[in-house]
Amino acid sequence: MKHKAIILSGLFACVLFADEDPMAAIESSAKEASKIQYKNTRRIVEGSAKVPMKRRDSYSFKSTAGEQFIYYNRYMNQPPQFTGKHPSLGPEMGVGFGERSFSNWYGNDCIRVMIDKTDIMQMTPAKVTHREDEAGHLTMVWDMKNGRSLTLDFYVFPENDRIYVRGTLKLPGLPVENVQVRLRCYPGGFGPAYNIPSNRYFKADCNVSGEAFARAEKKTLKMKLDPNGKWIFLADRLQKKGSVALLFDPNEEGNFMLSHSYYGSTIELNYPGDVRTFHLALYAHEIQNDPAFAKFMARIEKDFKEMHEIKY
Amino acid sequence: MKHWIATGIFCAVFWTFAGNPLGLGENHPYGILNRTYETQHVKWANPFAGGKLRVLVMAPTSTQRETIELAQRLDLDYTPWMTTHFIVKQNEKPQDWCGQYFLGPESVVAEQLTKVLEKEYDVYIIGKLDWKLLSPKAQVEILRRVSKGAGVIFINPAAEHKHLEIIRNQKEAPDGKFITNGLPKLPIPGFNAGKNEVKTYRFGKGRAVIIDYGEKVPAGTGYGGIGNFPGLSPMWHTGDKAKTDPIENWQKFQPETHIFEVGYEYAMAEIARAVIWAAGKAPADFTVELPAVVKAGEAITFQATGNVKAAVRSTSDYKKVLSVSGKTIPALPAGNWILDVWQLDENGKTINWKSTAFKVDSPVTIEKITFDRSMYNPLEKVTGKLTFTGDVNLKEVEVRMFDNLGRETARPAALKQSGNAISFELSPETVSVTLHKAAVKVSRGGKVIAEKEFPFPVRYVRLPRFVDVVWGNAANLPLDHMMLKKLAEEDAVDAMLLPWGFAARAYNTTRYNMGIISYPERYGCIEKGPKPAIAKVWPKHLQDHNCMDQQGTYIALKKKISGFADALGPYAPIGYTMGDESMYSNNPDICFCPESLAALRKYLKTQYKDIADLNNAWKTSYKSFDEAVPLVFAEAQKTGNYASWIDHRMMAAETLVKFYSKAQQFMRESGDVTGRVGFDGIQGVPSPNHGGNIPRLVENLELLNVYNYAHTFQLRMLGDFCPENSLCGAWYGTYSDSHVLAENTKEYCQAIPYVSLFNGLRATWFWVMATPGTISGYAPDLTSLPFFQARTDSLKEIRTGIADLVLDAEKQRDPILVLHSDRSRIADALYPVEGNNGRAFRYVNSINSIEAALEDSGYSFRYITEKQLSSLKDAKVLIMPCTLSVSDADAEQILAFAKNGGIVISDIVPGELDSHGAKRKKSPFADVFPSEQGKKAYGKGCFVNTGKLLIKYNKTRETHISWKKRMPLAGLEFGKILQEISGIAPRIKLVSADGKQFPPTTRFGWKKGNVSLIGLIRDNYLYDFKPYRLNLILPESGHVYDVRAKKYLGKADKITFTQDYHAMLFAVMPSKITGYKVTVPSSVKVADKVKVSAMIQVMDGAVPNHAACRLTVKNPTGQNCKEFEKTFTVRDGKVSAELSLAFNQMPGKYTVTVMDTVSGAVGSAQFEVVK
Repeated sequence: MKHKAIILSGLFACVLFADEDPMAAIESSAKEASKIQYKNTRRIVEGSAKVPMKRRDSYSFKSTAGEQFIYYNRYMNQPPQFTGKHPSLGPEMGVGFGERSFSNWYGNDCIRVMIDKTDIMQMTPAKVTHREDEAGHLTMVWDMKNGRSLTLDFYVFPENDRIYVRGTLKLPGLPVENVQVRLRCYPGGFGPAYNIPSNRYFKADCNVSGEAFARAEKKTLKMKLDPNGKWIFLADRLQKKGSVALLFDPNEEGNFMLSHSYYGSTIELNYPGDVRTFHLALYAHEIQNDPAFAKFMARIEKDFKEMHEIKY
Repeated sequence: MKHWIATGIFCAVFWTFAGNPLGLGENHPYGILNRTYETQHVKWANPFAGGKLRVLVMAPTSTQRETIELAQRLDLDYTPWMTTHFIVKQNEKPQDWCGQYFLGPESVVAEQLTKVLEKEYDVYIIGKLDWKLLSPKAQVEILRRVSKGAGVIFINPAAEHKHLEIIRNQKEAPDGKFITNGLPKLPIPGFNAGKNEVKTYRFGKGRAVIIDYGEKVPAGTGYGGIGNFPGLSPMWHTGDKAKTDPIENWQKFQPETHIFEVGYEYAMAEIARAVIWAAGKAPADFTVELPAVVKAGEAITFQATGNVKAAVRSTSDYKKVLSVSGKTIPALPAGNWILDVWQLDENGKTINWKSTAFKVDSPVTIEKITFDRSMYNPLEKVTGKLTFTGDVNLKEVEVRMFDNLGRETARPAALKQSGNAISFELSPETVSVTLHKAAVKVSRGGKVIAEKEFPFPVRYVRLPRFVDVVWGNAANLPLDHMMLKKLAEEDAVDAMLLPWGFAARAYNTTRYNMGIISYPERYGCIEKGPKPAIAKVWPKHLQDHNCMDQQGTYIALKKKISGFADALGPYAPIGYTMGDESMYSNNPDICFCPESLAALRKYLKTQYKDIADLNNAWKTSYKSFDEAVPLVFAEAQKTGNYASWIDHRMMAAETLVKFYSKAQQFMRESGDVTGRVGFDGIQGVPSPNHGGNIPRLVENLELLNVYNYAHTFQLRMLGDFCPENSLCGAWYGTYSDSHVLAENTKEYCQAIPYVSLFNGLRATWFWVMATPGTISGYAPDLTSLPFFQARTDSLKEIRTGIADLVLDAEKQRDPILVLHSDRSRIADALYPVEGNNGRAFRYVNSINSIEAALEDSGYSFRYITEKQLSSLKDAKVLIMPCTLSVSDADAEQILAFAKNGGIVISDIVPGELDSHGAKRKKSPFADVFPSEQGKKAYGKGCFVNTGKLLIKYNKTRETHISWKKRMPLAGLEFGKILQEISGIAPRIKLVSADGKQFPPTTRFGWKKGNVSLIGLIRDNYLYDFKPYRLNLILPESGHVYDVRAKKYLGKADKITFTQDYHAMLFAVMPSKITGYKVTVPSSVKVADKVKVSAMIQVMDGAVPNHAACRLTVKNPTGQNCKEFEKTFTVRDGKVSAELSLAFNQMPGKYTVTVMDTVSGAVGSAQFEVVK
């Protein structure tokens, strides 16, 4: 009996004092620690009787790869802040991106959505919500009358190398001929505004490519991209880095136009009136143009699939 | 599987791009870590019987050289993950654009982490990082792998973390004692003199090590980033700079590098053992037995199991290592020693090793040395006193003198005994480098029982004809030392500029036989300075560096300089820069204090005949000079009454000259009679009160340096005015991708040494060599980035004698003079023309544009000031950029010049102001100068107004656009006009060989006797680096050489060649050079002086009046004797030299080779050294 007690005690002690798996505690805390950190800072500029106050929100998502910013500048043109008539957006206002190379997707006014040439984002300020898990999620909703709305969902990756954008339109009872998504970028940065010279070029799907006219010539290159194409890459030879790239979906049956200059470039994605969802992936590169292009090309197929499947 | 495919594509994508492996550009350091450059090391376990260990080293970029250090010592397959900092940076302000360029972008750093973790490793080393720098996913993955059997080593974690707590709560692993068992149990600085605690744990199936050095890692920002703080080994010195690098004489402070280097070896051994244990490859222990204390002068045996090899190392000097034959330690002198024993397998691979400290006791030890002086000039007697513990007999003591190259430079000292003190006298007979040592030995019974070496400097610095200065780190840290060694031995650096560096940094620099430029203090920038931030950063300087007219300022200056001379003078600094980016003041009205006004009034008396003369210019009614008070800028500008304000500025410039001249005088009086004093990086040239009148400054200062902003006039002007013995040059280096200042590209950096040399300067100045892998010319592995290598290549070429060849010939220029009027520059600030805003931008753009236009058109010219207008007699063209102020006498001279056939060119009607800056009713040129673009004949000559033709032409340098797209270049048009009017074509004719238009190329010419030289430099700022085929029409026919390539091009009056971005230098010689006939004595004794003479050998023509050569000597083992290497100017084919042999010169045959600089032809002779 005594022996059995000793043995049982020993077994009990082994069980009690057996090594706990050190990974258990580590893995359990990892999920929470992996969450991207969200922050919102806001700046208000007072208005006047005729001009509403301006508000600039910086929505940032921070991971170990750095901090990614989505900016939204607009006029607070609705009651109670303002009772007069004024657009929600002025020049150099809207939704944009920062920092580092992503700021080449223009922090002030990168994305605009037009329905039959009416700028939706000009009408009212958007309502913004967010959520964070391993990635950052930001949703902006522009509510229009009669249950109509535009929603932009942004998916910010912790690697800080790309942002997916899904646009959703609810337009019940509205006959629409054309939906245009306009994107603005400055591949290679903002140097030309400070007289720093540039030599900006682009490559697009289906063997489309081109170069901007020199600054002195004061002309912009305008061309149509291949409707079957799904990507464009823009860069500056003299800056050698700071290139940007865009993935879009030809299945959404748009026709795509590019205006390309020594400074900024505008990409117009013109979708048919019945499009209700569009998908985009925006890239900005810290490395030099040629390796950036190669890297972008290597990931196109995977990302194209992913931007449709991901949970925004 | 998918991961591996992705990795494969990823790698293929990047590895197809040459240069940086991560696509960051060839001059970006991030990610580069190769084993190309080897440093001194002990192969503790390399090769290792346990096999190659796969290690991931996670540490900041700037510390990753230590990964290579580890791989030299332990058999490793290493992979780095490089972070920017040790800690997570909160709200960090970005570094400026210079430092920012060199950082690994955050997204790339993060991407690399994912990539490196696609592989498995035996051990993960976390080098002093905050664990939070890794993503949670990466943290979990690493620890999961450790729990499955891998190892992890946390070295001095930068911050606490939950995971570290969990690790510490695991069971300690007693077998972890393997790590410390093999290490010497003796405190050694650099290893374990401070805290060095090793704890080992089991973590699941794996192993964890936490090493704690008790260090707080730096948070650092700025250029040094995190300084040279090591990532794996202990920091060498801690505490503030006043303690680690005091302003103290070398007799009071020694950085003891040779001791720290020993500690470093064992610190690395500790990490190596930690890796072996963490990888689960720790072998069985083996025993080494030897007594803890042995007698000096007696050999002893030790016991060790197995097949072993051994060495014994002094703890006080890294270089003192003795091989051990069998198991017998040879007789050693007193001190602490370490026996290193390796246990080897049958293939000679290390199974294990053990280091055991032991003491050697002696009845006599060398206690102390006192040198009688701290400043020794070359060949002066070195005397002092030695004290000993224990009884010592004079006959037992020997004192010898060696230099830092190991040469014995004096006979053994004469000694005198007085009690237990022995005084010595050394009489050196040769000197080659700065650092020396007194080597003291005590022998008894034929064995050395005590020995010690005492380093001391001699005021001698070997400098080549063209000096390379590098602003860089030189602290007492392992990475700094590795960098200094490579800079000196492989990368053509002659002197380090040491910002606020004193006892330690000076010693460290001379340890590698480099000279010093001291930057001990910053003067100037009175009041606000170039940026308001200056006042915040150096608030003290407003008190210590007060007005340059106050007596207190000079009293303080003298005191400070006395301290600098005491601390640094013994090392004979080649210069002292008393202010980086200095100037008088950025404030247009400083200074109105009583002392300044008194100084102004004194100055005015030298400028005006009498008070009536002053009143006339100033429009005042003073009764005496003592009443004179100048207007401030705003008043002068408003009233148009300029003279008083301009006089005040002219005086300020004189004050700046006076201040630095005084500094030079104080330095001489304090005992450093050779150090050149001045300042570097003249700033704020358009600022009217900056005082940086280059021609005036170099009349008095022996050191001056400028920035080469996009081809400004400063560098060229400095070259035209700097005296021969001065140290003048321009900054270039790590200015990132600035397209205005100085890019860090190979195209630019190969050119700037030649740009400096061809403009008559004696030095280049490279900013900056901070921590390798950050803002530096080195990648993290100490290899040279392409831009740094390009500059090294150019310097090495120049050291074949090109500097002598160029500097000792006479500059040949077109008969064009460009007048620099500093008074006009100052006055221009008053003019509210577009873009000025209180600065003289119009003047600066004007002079820059003229220079650019002349050089683009192929013309060479000379800068003059008003004092040199007598040179007009030898000129054909005088250009007066924006010359507002002209004295009556000068105006007469210029008018006479034009009347007699000279051409006078300006972009305004000059002479609106008189010599005091007062407005004239009418310029003396009003009737003869065209008021708009055009020409007016005058006598046999004419006056030309360029009008708007060249406005801001210099700005073309700031645009990246290839020059072709801006055709027609206004500068070329100017050149055409100049040629038409003057009839002068550029002296050096360069035309396209294939009809293609080629980029503007600056042309330089020299002549000496029957030898001509032509230099050509493509203007880098025009960004066309492609090769062009060109014809050069030579000034006379002759035997032509491409001097850089040492290639004979034939006898010709014209040559065809291809030029890309490289500088070209051609020599036209009277004959073909076939070599040198070298004559030396056949046999000499040690310590003799060997006379070498050499005569140039030619074929087919006369002996050249001018040439250059490089002399080198190889010793009997075929090694180069650096102490004898020198370049010479060769006059009329003859050159002679004298080689001073050392007292311990190796006997045997020495080969003297003389290589001709132009042709590369050589001649040799041999002499034999006998004992």
